[in-house]
Amino acid sequence: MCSSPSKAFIDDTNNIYFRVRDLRILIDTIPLTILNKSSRIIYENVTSLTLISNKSFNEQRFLIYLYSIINQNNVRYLIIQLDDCSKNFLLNLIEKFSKVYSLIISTYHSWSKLIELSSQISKSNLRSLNVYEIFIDFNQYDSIHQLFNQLEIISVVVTSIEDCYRLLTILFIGNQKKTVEKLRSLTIKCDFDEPDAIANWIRANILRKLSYKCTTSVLTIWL
Amino acid sequence: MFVLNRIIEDYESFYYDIGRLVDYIPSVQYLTVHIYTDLQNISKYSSIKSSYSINSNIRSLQISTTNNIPFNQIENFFRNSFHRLEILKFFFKTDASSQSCLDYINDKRWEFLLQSFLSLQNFSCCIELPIHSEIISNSFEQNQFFLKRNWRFSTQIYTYSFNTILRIHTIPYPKRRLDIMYVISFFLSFFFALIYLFVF
Repeated sequence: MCSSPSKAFIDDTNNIYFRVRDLRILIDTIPLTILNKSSRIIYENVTSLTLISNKSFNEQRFLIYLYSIINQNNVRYLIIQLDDCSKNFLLNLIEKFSKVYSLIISTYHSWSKLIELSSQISKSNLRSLNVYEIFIDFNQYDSIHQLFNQLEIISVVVTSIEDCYRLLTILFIGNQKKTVEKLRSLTIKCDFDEPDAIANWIRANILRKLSYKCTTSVLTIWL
Repeated sequence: MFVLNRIIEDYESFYYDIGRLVDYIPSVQYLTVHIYTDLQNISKYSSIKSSYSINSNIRSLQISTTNNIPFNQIENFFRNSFHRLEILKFFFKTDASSQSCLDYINDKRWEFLLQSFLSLQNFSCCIELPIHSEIISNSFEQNQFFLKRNWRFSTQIYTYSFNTILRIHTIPYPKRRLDIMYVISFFLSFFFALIYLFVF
């Protein structure tokens, strides 16, 4: 029998993962014994971090472990694919990974959590947001505006053409003279039966100069 | 530098593509290839002529594949085509368990193959495949050929989608992407090794 395999998480060999830029962590496969061990920074140069879990997990314990193994200063892209996570878990990630430019998120009630965090997110470096969950709550206008106002790239999923119009109204027609100013690219995914109707609506209602393309599944707008 | 990123229908067309590329751009020295093959064609084209030869000036070659191309084809292809190779990076990852893919973690096969590249200075690899035992993997770390050249290896075993996966790679870890998952403890690996010994 030969020597044991080295461990991917705590390895005695110095800095063997310095070339890793794109790190994906399958959280629910990591046993507690690993999470409880203190470590040194193993992943120095990661720019893209993906967190995946199909089950609930101890968020606090995982965050302590995550911050101990990864250099937070280089992370620019954060991808969250979690069955569920708390609002505080998201907030902690956004605050600790302060240089994150792009967030792609798929989790339970992600929109409501993001909107509740709109004040903190608006102070972050986040400029690109892609949310897989359907956007349905248009009521909290100020918070939604605060969330969207600093973003340059947005990808949203809606369920109906009416909700598409509501979203476009929030973004480009505004309320009390507030519209988003920094947006450069907007993608709205929906099952559109009549793409031409959307094109007509945009031409009739939005004064702002923009380019757009609409298919039966997606509306893309460039500004 | 040239990156060849094409879905090929079979290995013959792959060799043909490389051959044409080298014919058209004989001065190409740095080549990166991603091979995505329809697995159904493997048996159909399993007997590539060993004499198939491409005379290239390529000094640096990176090959990435997720398909279990029979290792003897890799050997023939490399031996006959890249006489001036100085840098070789080889990445192979599969979820499909098969006896033939164990050839990829046979240190002696790699030793004989790499010995044929007289100019080779730098070798890095990352191979991930389902296994039943870790016994074979560690032979890389004790192989004198690799030790003399200071090409060191690290191995991890993790579970994913009901499979036990071996990851073996040169140090430092050579790829930009890394998935980290639950690594099986030494004792569980030892348990797998015992099963392997008794069964095989």
